[in-house]
Amino acid sequence: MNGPVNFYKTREIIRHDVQVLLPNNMYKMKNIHGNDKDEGHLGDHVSPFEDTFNISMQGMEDRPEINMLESRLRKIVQELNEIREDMVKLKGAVSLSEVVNDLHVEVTTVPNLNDTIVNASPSHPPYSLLSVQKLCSRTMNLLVSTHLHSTISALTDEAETFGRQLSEFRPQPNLPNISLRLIWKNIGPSPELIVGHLPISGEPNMLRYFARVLPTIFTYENSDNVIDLDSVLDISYCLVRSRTKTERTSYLQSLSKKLGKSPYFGGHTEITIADIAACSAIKQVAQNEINQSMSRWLVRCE
Amino acid sequence: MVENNPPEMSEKGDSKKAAKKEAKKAEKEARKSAGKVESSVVVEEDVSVGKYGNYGLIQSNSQSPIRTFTDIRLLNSSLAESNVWIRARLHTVRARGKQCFIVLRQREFTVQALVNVSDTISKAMVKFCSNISKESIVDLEGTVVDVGKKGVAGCTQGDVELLVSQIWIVSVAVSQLPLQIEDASRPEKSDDPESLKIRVNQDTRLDNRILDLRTPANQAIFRLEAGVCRLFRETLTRKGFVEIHTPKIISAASEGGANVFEVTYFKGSAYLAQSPQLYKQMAIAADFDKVFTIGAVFRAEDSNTHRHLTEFTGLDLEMAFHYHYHEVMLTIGDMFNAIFKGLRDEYAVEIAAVGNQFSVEPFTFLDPALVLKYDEGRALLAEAGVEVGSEDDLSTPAEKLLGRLVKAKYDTDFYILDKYPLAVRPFYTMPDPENPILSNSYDMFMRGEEVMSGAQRVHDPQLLTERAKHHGIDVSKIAAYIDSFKYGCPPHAGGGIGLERVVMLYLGLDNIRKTAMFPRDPKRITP
Repeated sequence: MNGPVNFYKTREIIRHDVQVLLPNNMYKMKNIHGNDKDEGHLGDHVSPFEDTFNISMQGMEDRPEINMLESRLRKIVQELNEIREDMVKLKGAVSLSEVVNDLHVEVTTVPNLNDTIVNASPSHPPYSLLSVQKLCSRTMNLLVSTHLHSTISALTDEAETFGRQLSEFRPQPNLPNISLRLIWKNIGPSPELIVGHLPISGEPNMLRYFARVLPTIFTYENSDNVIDLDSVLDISYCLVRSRTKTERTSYLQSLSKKLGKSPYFGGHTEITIADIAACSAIKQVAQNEINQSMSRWLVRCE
Repeated sequence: MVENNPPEMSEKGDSKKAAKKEAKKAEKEARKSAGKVESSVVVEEDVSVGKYGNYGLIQSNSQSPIRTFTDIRLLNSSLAESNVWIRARLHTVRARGKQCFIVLRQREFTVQALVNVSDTISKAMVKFCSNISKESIVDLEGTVVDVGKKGVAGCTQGDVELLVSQIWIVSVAVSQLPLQIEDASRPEKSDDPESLKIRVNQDTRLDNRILDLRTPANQAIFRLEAGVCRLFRETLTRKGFVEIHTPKIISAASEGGANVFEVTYFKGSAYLAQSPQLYKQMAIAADFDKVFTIGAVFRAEDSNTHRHLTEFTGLDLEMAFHYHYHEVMLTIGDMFNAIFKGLRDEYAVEIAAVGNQFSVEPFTFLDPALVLKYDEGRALLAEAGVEVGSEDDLSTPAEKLLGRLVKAKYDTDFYILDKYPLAVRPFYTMPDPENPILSNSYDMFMRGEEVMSGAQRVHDPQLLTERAKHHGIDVSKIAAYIDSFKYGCPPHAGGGIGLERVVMLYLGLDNIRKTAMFPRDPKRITP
């Protein structure tokens, strides 16, 4: 057995150069032996510094300066929080009132009143529109455009002056606009307000409608003596429609009685819807038939 | 002799029918001869020779009589006892024994005349009167008689009648009329259940238009139509417009290209103008500032509706403006209002005459005219349950409904709808600067039907080319149109109306053929 021995060639049992197919129904585990840096320097550890931080703080807990500093800071934070809460409360209050205003202007008034038509006879101009325009001027611009219907060939002087007064109104640029059409038409003493399909007849009823859609502007249903105001409104309605002078005189007398010595109807200190209606009715038919206290009231209403 | 004839004849006849015919013939002949005999007898002792007869042909003879004539419309009780000469048509005649009642007509005015046998009026004259055919023109002399309160029913001059002393025929009408004026002027709707139901239909009327036009309603319609033209001219002239005349024979179609009549033009062909628009705009580019034109317009549309004609009279206007096309739109609105006011104030009699035959509500309008935005119109329609898309055009039923809604709300038959969607307007319409789907265009409506369609036109050649391409129009075909804006053109807007349609809608008539004197439609080119 001298000399080199020839080894048997054996069959290779394990091959290392083949791709090993890993089954995919198994969990993948992290290779803990490998030292690859792909995971970043923290690996899969969560907040490794927290413990060290706490540990380092432990030594200082008993030191008085630190405790004082901490309590002072806590106080400041508390005060800041209180201020913040106050501010939020204040802001809430302010924005709440804004929301109410917005609702009032955009939901209740603008869509309901836009494109409204008032039909009126030139012999009986609805003077109350001027008062409405004036009262509304703080919250909205009431723009009135006038048309002449073909049933009328010429306007009376009063109607023309009245139309001019309405158009002289200067709109505020930052307020919402409401446009209303005034159509001069041959329809007798009671004007018509057309909002839906049926007309609202008579100037006092027209005002009632305005008062209902703009409750904050007019003194009417929000006052204690609605019944008094209502009766004045009804008298005004009849006054315009009265045919004879005796009829008119009796209506004027009852108006005068209702007014009494108070500055406005119903003992109010501010102008009410009743004053507006009565004022317009008197201007239309009986400007020269009223007594002194009534004329003083008329001037007050202007 | 007369009465013996028929039995003789009937014996000869083979059948009963023939016998009857023969009998009738004989009777007629007998009556004729009898008439001759009678007249010849009377003529011998006629006391009114020279008071009646036929003038013969009036040829402007040198010995013509000089007479002053009175208009029937001026006859009233203040003229009682005076002697007047009247030339008028014989409307109806009715003989009763020794009297003969004649109704004379001048346009829509009628008066009754009475021929009474008397010392100066012979029986023969009464007979002559009763035989004058309807619609003949007569000269008549008579005394005005006040008939007091009872009046003459059925005549416009009811408080007087004429006692005739002379009557002469000027021009005789054939006795068989294709339509009776009375039938043609009978009210369409009558409250009286016993009134006659005879009406003349549209085609018979149009075939015999000369007779039909003699009715009071037609007289009034065409006088009013003249009024619309006059008021249009007057109003615009007062506003500083210049009247121009545009060619009616054109080389290329002015709008789009469809609906034009082609005519032979020497060796080639030409078209009949479909609209004077291009020429109006050229006049603006030529510095006329404000122009209008009245002239015939031709549309080769084969639509047989109540509101389309193939030839009609267009009243068109175009105006340069400074900054906003509303300057023009409101001028047009004013113009319409001036026309409506003029008609209301100056043509009340005519409107009433038309109203007698065709009962319609009077036309209402607002001054200044009501202007609604297209979207407001859509909102009104939506409220009534008709949805119209924001870029859709209004259909004809929707337009009518909107007209009714506007009428109910504003009580106006005339309104302007502003800001139409760009997509439904022609390529030369100026787009809205703030909203890309809208345009600076407007339609005007009368009783819910569109009478004018107008807009601000694009006056910039580059934008115009762009818009034309967008609409798929061959730019080379409209090169001339685009070129006319090359040398500077002021911003301008305008529109056009159809005279017949405006009159029809103002009066509330149901067919445009009633307001065209000799209407032209796809089925009629005569008379």
